[in-house]
Amino acid sequence: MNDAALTEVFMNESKEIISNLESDIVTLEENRKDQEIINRIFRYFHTLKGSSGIVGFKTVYEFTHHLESLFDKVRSGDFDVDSDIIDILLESIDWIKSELFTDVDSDESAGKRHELTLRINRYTGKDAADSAKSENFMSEVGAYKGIGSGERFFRINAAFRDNIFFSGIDPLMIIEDLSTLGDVVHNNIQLKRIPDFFVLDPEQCYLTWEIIIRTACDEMKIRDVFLFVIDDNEIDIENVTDRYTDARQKSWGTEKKLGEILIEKGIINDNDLDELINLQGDKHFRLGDIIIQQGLASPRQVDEALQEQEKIKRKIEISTVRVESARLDNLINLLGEIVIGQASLHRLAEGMDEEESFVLNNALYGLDRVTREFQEQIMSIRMVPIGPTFEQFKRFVRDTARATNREIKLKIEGGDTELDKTVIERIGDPLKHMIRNSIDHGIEPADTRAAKGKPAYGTITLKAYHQEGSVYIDVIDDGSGIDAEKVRKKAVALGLLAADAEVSRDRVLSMIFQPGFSTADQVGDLSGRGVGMDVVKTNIEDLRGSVEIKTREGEGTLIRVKLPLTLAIIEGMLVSLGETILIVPLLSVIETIQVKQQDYRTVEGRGEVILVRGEYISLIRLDRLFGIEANCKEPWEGLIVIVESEGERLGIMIDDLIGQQQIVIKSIDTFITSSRSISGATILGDGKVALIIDIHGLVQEIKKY
Amino acid sequence: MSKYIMIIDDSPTIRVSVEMALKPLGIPVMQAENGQNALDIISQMKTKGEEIALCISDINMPVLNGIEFITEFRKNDRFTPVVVLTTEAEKDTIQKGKDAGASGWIIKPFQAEDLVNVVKRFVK
Repeated sequence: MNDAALTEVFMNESKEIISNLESDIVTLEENRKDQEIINRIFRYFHTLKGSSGIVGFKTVYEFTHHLESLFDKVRSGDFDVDSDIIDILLESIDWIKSELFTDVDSDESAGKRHELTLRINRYTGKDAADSAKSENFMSEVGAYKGIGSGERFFRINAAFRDNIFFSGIDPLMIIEDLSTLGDVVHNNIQLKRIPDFFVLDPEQCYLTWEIIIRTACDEMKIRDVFLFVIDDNEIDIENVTDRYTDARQKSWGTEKKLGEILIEKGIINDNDLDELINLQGDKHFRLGDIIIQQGLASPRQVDEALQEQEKIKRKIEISTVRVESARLDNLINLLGEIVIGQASLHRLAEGMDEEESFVLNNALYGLDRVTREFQEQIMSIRMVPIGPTFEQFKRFVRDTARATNREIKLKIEGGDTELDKTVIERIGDPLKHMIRNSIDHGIEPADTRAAKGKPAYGTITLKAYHQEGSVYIDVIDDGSGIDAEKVRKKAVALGLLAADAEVSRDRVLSMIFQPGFSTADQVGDLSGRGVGMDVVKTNIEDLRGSVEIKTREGEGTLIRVKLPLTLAIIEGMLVSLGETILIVPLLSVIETIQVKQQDYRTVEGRGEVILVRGEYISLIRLDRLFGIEANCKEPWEGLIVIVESEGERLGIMIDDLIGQQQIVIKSIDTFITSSRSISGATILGDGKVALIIDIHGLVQEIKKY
Repeated sequence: MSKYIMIIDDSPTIRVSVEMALKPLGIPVMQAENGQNALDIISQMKTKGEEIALCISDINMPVLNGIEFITEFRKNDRFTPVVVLTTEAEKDTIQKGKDAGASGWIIKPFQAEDLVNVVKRFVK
């Protein structure tokens, strides 16, 4: 379609409008107060004005503008339709017809138009200046296009209203448009208005932009980008070319003073800063306060600058710790070597006479201190606070509580407690399961609680803290607690416990961690499907942690998870079998005992067992399992280490206990051993290699036989 | 499947000129004579799974005017941009449009270039 075709569309349209107008004007003459007809006539003039403007009939466009104004007044009741108006209308229609559809003498036509315009203006009260205004219409639109020369800097602060998206405006598109006008040299997005995740409404705009752009465009052009939003959003555009220093060339990513940031943003200049520092003098006023006091910047600007300062600081921190975790592991391994080397030196010193060893021991003392700190530092790099992991349960608790018709508050304590990254990554699922159990089996419905005199809402507390080189995570609920008698009956029914077994209450409770165990009479929607606490326990044990449970009937339950600070170093118990030294992770060790010959027997289907306080415990002979030589051939000759994994207790026969120490774990390649009973090795002070027994794997291996 | 731009105006001249002006953008244009007509077309399009990228609507129209159209349209669609065509550069028409949920405006008469520039702000 070309312009000629468009003109034809216009001609047809105007013919139709004019014929409608003629018939409506005749009706209007008879019925001068018919509001519907008045409205319609107004709209016809309005449409005709719009169309003629588009097609380029400038005279018709301007003339219909007057007619439109006239009828706007009639429409709003400023004056009544009289026969003079009817005359004007009919003569105007004739003029439009001749102007559009016939070859007219332009002078004559202009004369008629002028005459009619004057008659119309008597009603609308407009003068000639006003009609000139409409002629400027087209040029006005073009005014935005002016592009100046030279490089300019503009600082733009754009805070959009929250519901901006609901008017079909995407602020990001505006920002993108802006960035096409030049180089964005600084783009700071304020995140402070973003609320807590759980109250965040994804359909709201919470961001505020602060942009400095280097451009050849003039301010008009910049403003034009924000044309549709500048009136009802907080958009500040400022030409900062004069004040914008070369501060931007200073490297980003180094720590900055507040003043520097403000200078960079072009809010203050170097002289201002000098003056400010003078004002600050020796007094302990904060620079930000002085700046606001002096009226050099608004509190908002200072606040934003401070936040940016904080952000830069954080950026520096983050950028310097981004290291592949494998490299950290390497460092830890190397550190292990240093510790081993040190142990050798200590042994060497022991062999010397006192005078000789004095100097060496002194030097070693200093080295010890440094390596210890070194170790702590490396470990701390892998440490992350557990807070975010805890926070993510807020939503989960809320949803689960709703689904089970309960009111539950989640309390978080010790969110800044740090744990090894790997541990954090793997503790989420077990914790979730424990919380789910607390909600499903622990917290009673509100009416039950009220009847018991408890607050209507239940409380689940997640608490993390450091103690004795371990990290503890407690999951505490103030629910109904666990009925130990019920657990016992269930355990007996499941054949996990002998009906007459005399076991401690704690031991009974630990049955909960047995596979397939659930005390819920009915299977709940969420938990109680038999896959549960046993998985929790296995997961935690895989992290070299342990879990215990304490409960008071009617008052609540506490599940305490104990985790190692790190996965790279463990507390180990050194035991000997003949010439071989093995390490048993201390976390798995329940006790070490000596047994009497009468407590030893062989049981059909279970092999060798020992009787410990009324309970039969399977006996493991590591010498046979690993094919090594042991001094003690019978259980009552040496010692038995009782260990526990997955609720299973085992007795490991050993010759002797050597001691307990921190063990740096070194992994062993699978071509050396594929035994699941060995989790790794370590190098002892004298350079000997000792294997670390994987209790979890050992239990699995034994079960196979 | 491409999205459509819908031009809502009782004047065929305006509708055709908008369609011509937008031709270089390669976005198909739908025409509607008034607000009610537009709403009907949009609901038909929905059943076919077709989408609107942008509405350009006149204010003064018979049956359902521009403001009424936007108000009605926004009940089902809060995010699609709507640009109003207005001959009065007066704030109150623009403001009424904004209050109803309009995203921007174009002042008639417009040059093809002006129209394209406005459309480009909303349709990428």
